[in-house]
Amino acid sequence: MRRLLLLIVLLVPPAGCGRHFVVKPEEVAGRDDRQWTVISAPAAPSPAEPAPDPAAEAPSPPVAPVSP
Amino acid sequence: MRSVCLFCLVVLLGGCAFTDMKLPLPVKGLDPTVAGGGGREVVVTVPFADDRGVKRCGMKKNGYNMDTADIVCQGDPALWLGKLFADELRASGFRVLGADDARKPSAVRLDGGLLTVFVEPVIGAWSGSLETDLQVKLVATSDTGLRAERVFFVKGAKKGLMVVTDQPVQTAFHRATQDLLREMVQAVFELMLKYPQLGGGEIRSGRAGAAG
Repeated sequence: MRRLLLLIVLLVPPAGCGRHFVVKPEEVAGRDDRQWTVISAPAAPSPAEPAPDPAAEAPSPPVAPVSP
Repeated sequence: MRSVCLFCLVVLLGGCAFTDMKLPLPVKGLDPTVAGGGGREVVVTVPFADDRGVKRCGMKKNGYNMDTADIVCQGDPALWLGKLFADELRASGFRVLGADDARKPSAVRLDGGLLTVFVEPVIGAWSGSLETDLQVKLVATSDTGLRAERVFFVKGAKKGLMVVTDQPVQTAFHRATQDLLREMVQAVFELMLKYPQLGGGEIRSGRAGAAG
């Protein structure tokens, strides 16, 4: 009987009497941020230079000389 | 005489539990890679800062969950993870620059801090598993004013074990490394999709497949 008890103690150690460094699987989600914490956003891109307006660039028509 | 034989047997059987184990750090990146970097510029500081509270990489335990020996990383884990992350971003199509390289003002600088690397057998009454915890903090900045932070925490496990040998430890560590790399690379994609002006290039949504 004593041998049997000794065998059980040796082969079936009590669980959970040691120290754990790794976290439990259910605690993983709480330690992972899942998304960025943005403290400051980057400057918006400078707006592209507007395309030159062909009408504005066209030379103005010559003004007819005013006769006296 | 019988007692002496029993003592010798116990010492022989239990010997490996009291011997430190060296853990090779995996060098293989993601398979498949997350593609779509589009040549955007990122600066990765290598090595990461080593901010671990516990410097050993893991521990062996006996059947009573008692700490019996150390698992020691072969090499500097902060250097290893920084290099692996930079290589993975490069494989994903980003233009990865060093801290001193010339870069665009919109290039994203990624500073990593290694918070946890730990492998441990978790022994239950009838079965056990090997678990690896990896935790990293990334800080993203740019000359154009970006500052963002994120902490990553992953767990890799190899279940159904009662004896700690090299192979299951490496399997659990490899799984955790793959999950961490994938999360970190996808996080860089998320940041650049949110702020398309970063990195100066064309960003496509990060997706698994061939690098491009």
